[in-house]
Amino acid sequence: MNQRLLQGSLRSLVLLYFAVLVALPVFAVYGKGLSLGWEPFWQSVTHPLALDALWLTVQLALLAALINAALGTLTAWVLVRYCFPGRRFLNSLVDLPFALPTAVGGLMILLLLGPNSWLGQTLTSIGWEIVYRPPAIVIAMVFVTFPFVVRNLQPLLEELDPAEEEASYTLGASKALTFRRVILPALLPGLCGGTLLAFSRALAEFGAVVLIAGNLPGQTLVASVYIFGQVESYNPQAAAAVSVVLLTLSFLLLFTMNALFGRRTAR
Amino acid sequence: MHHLEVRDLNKKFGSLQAVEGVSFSVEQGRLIGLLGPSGGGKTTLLRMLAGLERPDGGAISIGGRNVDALPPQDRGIGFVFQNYALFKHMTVVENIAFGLKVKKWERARIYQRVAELLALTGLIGLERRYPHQLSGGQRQRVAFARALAPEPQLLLLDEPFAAIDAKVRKELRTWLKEMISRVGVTSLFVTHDQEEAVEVADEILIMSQGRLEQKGTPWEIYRAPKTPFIATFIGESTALHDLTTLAPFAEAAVSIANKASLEGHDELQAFVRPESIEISRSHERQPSSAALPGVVSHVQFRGDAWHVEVQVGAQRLTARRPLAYEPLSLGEEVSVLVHRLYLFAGQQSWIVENPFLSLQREKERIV
Amino acid sequence: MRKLSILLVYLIFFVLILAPLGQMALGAWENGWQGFADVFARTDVQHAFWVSGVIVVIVTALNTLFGVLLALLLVRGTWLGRRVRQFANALVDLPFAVSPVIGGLMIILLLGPNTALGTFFESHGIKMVFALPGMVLATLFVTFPLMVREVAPLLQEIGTEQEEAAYTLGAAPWMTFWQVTWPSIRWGVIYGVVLTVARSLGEFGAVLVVSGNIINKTQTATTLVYQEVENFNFVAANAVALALAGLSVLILLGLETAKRRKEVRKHASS
Repeated sequence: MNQRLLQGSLRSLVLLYFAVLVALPVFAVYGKGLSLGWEPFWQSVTHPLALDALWLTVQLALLAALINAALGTLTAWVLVRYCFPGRRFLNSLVDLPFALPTAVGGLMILLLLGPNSWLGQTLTSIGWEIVYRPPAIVIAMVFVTFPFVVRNLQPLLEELDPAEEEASYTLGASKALTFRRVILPALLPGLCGGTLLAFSRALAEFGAVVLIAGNLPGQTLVASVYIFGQVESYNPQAAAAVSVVLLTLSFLLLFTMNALFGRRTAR
Repeated sequence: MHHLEVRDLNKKFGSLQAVEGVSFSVEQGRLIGLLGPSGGGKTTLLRMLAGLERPDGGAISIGGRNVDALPPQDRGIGFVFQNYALFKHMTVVENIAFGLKVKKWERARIYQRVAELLALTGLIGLERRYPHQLSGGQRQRVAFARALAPEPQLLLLDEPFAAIDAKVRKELRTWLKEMISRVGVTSLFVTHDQEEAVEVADEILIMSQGRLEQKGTPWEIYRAPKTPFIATFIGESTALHDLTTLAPFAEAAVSIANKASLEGHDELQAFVRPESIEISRSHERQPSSAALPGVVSHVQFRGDAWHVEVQVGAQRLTARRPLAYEPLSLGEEVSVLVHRLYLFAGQQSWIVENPFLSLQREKERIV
Repeated sequence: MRKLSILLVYLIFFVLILAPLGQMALGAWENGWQGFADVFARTDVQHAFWVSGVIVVIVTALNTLFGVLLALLLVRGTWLGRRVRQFANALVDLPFAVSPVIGGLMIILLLGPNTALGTFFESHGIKMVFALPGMVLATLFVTFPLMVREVAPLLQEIGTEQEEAAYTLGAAPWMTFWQVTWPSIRWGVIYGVVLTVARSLGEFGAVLVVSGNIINKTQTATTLVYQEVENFNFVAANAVALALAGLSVLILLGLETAKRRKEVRKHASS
């Protein structure tokens, strides 16, 4: 009996921890954002600078996700299908952006492309300014979200039965047709899932972006940095309002992903 | 005194009635086969006996002790899982010794018991292997030894032969039967293979759709199936659409049909087993009113007999013909002698012997 | 085609990862070994690493314990009902979808100086926001899914049969967990621990918002990097960042080892 009591209290403790740590803070943001009613919420969200920041973030994150879809597919393909010197090394390196503090990632890109580096100066001299401009933000987003597409595709590629491809060849299909009709459909769930993950992560990215974006309102100020600015200037209501928009967008993405590929991730 | 007693056991999963009103008892030392089609509730019943599933209602007692409130740990049972569930990170010896260590046996005693079981199950030489280094049959022996080690009062086996390929399966069946009779532990095993149940079990419990359909020795069940389901599940049976085509049985059938309809039961169903049909050429047997004329419509060699299909009126019957006789040819006219029929209506069942045949035997005796 | 794509992949890795890493390493050694040593001789730098270390230890310990327990609950807790577990399962991923800055903001909104909870803790002499407790909470939030997502699929995969076998052999739940379940999930848990260490060491946005980035008090290694960059003190920023990157590489090696052990187990079982 005593043991059952112990078990019961342990279970309740775990659930309570979960609720307090994860669910409560989310309610707090929604509560604060809408605490003064609809009107102030709407004003905070439609403030021109806020709107600019949100729109810029969505655009750049989408671009970064698409770049990663291409780079990630190529990388995953080469890492799974080809045997070449350095493969194991590169495969381990894929996870580095996960392991590296995002601020360090931002600093690395700043140093490489910044005004003090050889590369940055060369690029500036041919008229390509990158740092403190939108391209730098995209590069930072691509860097941080690079592992998602690769790591989502690799298991699918490994599972793919070579016999399916061979069957396609024996039926007279060309390499390109086989890729398009046989391989791509099998990879699609992983590709979409990975790209969506990269997109939602890029939407939320702060550390890597804040150091290299320049954060000029209306030009290079992304949503998360805007929220940070509002918190710093003691305007939590506005911060919460923009957070509500960003959060809702992220949740929608998360639930879409769960609905579309839930069975995969649940496995 | 019954060793295992189950009374009115019920279990529902959501809206699915997995086990419904099952009651039976088993005597000490018997080997029971729990037989039925997949999804019939056999495994659920077994898991409830083990305490791995909580029944919605009913009572279970093992060795005269009610175990309803006891967790699996305290029921004194051994369980062999379908895929053996060997502990992957433990060697053969560690697997077998696990239950004894849990019970805090002395080291020397554990050592002795494990050695005994290794010898009994023929696993000597494999002591230090891990489960993934064993063959299917060896894994099953380990699972068996592990379940037996703590000297359970009741051994439960869930589809013990399902994961083994057909060739080894036959050997293992005989091995298991021998082993259990040597150890003398009361055992229940689940199977969906009727041949396996008939061959291994002392007694069979047949389950379908959560209900216990019949309990008895394999011969009893074969000889007198209680429901149409069992008649088709144990052995082969052909359903008869129209009893009037089988003239010799017509009278008996009509009287039973009358009785049945009087009692307001469902429709009368009739089955006949291939083994109780004799097919002969006209010169092989004296003409008799017990037999019917038929035409051979299909002949196939089946290794131990001819498998013959004959058309009798509108009814097609399946029969066997011993290889010792000449083979029949297609379209040949033959005489068909049906020895007995099974009739079912609602909860009742009848075995009807061919009346003319018994009459004929009577006559022969008098002469 | 094949050679070209391998070349391209090498190029991607070089441009995206190796070149920035190399540039930073070069930058950190600009003033030689002495410059590097000077940075780490600063008490505020040492303090920042100390704060980071404390957060990593507390967060990893708590999330490991509760992550494993919650995974057990989500996968094995049939008493909870399927619907409830599905909902909780979706909720676990929530922190993944939340920007770290918002994660920090949440803690401020809940426990800040003007909130009910904040004043409650304040009156008992516990400062939550702009202090270590708030930073720990923010990091806990951000890293919460890592352990659950690592352990839950493993539990699902090993199934319940071995555990049931242990029960029928007389082992109590506690013993069954340590003797049967734990050996199967061990490397998954270790993988989760390494991931949690990486994320809590590297956490920046949430901590920056909650901590106020007060030198010698709430500044962590990552927020120190940020501040040094803002002050255009690149040598210090480089040195600290390089140290963090070095730790990340170590963590990466740990991840690789854990992953390989995890795979070995998986293959051995099948």
